[in-house]
Amino acid sequence: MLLDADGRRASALPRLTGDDEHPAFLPGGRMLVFDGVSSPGAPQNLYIVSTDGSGLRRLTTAGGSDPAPCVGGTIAFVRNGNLYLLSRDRRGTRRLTTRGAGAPSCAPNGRVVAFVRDGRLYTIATDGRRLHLVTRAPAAIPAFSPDGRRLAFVTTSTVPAANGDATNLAIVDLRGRPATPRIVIAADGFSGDSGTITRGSSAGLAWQPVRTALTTLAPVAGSPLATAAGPSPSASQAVALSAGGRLLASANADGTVTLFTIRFDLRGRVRSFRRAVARSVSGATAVSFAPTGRLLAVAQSGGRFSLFGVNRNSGALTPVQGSPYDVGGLGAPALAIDPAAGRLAAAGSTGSVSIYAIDPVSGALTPVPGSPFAGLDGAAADSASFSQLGTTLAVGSRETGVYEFFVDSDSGALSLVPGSPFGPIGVTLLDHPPTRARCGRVRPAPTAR
Amino acid sequence: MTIAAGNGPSGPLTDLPGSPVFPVDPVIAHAFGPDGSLAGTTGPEILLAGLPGFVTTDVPGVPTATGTGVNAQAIAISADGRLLATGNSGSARRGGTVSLWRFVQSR
Repeated sequence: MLLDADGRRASALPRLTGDDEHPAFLPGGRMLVFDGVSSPGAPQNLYIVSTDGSGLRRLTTAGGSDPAPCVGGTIAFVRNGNLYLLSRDRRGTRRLTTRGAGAPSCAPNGRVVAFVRDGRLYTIATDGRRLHLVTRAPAAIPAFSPDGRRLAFVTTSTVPAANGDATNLAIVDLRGRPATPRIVIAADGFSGDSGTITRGSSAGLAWQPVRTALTTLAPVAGSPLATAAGPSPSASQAVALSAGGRLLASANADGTVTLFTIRFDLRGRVRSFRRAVARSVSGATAVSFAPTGRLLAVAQSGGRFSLFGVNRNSGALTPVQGSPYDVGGLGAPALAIDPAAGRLAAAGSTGSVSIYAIDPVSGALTPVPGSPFAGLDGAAADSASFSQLGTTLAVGSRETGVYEFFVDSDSGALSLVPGSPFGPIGVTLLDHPPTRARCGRVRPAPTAR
Repeated sequence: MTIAAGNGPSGPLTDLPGSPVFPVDPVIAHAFGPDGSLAGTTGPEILLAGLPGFVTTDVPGVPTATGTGVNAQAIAISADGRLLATGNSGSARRGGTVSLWRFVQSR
């Protein structure tokens, strides 16, 4: 059964296998994973299906039950009484335990799985490391809270007066050591079936998601605006906003660049949004503002780029002396300007990275000593980004991965970070200086626990 | 510096915990906000999500899809995180456009 979140509409999926059990939404909410059997008496395996009942597909052939989807796309599940992890591409499985496991629940960050072994609650990292006994209290059916800090589970306690056990719902705070479960609903108030809990089968727990502010988008008055006056303005294929948010630049399919001005009122709300200037820049494919908003770099086909001074009031563009610059190759170079607007990096299809010093007055570019710098293994660059402090430069290539360079603070010279290139093909960058790159580093296969 | 790796410009992001951030395909352009939140577009939809620790949607890891009425091909977020811009492809009736959006939070 599928039930709308407001509880108003319920719909039933058709029977999909011989015995459909343990449904769970995959991230995104458009697919379900569940365990089923191909025929009566056959072993359980994992299946996925769209929420409309279409696209049924079996994920495992060697057995699988109790799926617990992880936000990263992997799925924790039980096979032959142990915990396994199905890879996000659904092609490989990793065994996480060898001494028994059941009732998995994946943490919201996708890095930890909670499970039950011999009636006790454990967690283990999804790389198979850091097995941890959470509590010695009897436990079944764990469920991570939406913030990942707590686990709810079903526990039992002896009731001497009744000469038997009582079933309770408990919550344990994972931040505390030692972790002591807090019973939140005593036996009389919990509707669980103690027999079902003992077997660890179909009963389940679910947290009400913590509803924080829901972020949506509203168009600013005036949107959308044509990229040019006239009957058929060209499609926008790249956009950039200046750091102050007062200018929007668009690189258009016909090779032109259009600037738009944005005005704010005293309360910071957009007061006007207008097209300011459209300028022909041969083969323009991408635009990038300097953090100061006073320079606009435009990548062009044929291994060239241009730099323009920007009038921040009118949006008028003035070519910087020396533009366009040529870095070689056929495609458009990937451009990045460092946070201090002191240097510009241009990486093209020639397998090298050019670093220019930006004249603080005229904006003119001068190659720093040693530029261009090799190190891309001859690969074409697709993206470039300085770190927030400008001390490192990452250059992405869809062909080979991410190349990271140290930037000499005095000379601007580049030196390749050992281990480059990192990661799989295709990159984009999130600039947070305190943390290290963590892309695609290969770790040894963990020992099964 | 954190690097999110994807399957080229036309695939979902992968390799970060929480990925694929947008379990739809293809995401043809994406941009980070200053707080690490992420916007992507499939063309007619703009998807918003927060990376772990920067969740902006009501359910961690689940993006918000917004029907836009435009066919966004490019996307950018302002440095202060208040505005989002899209570059849109043309239609027979209306040529190429750009759109400016503001983030709205509701409960």
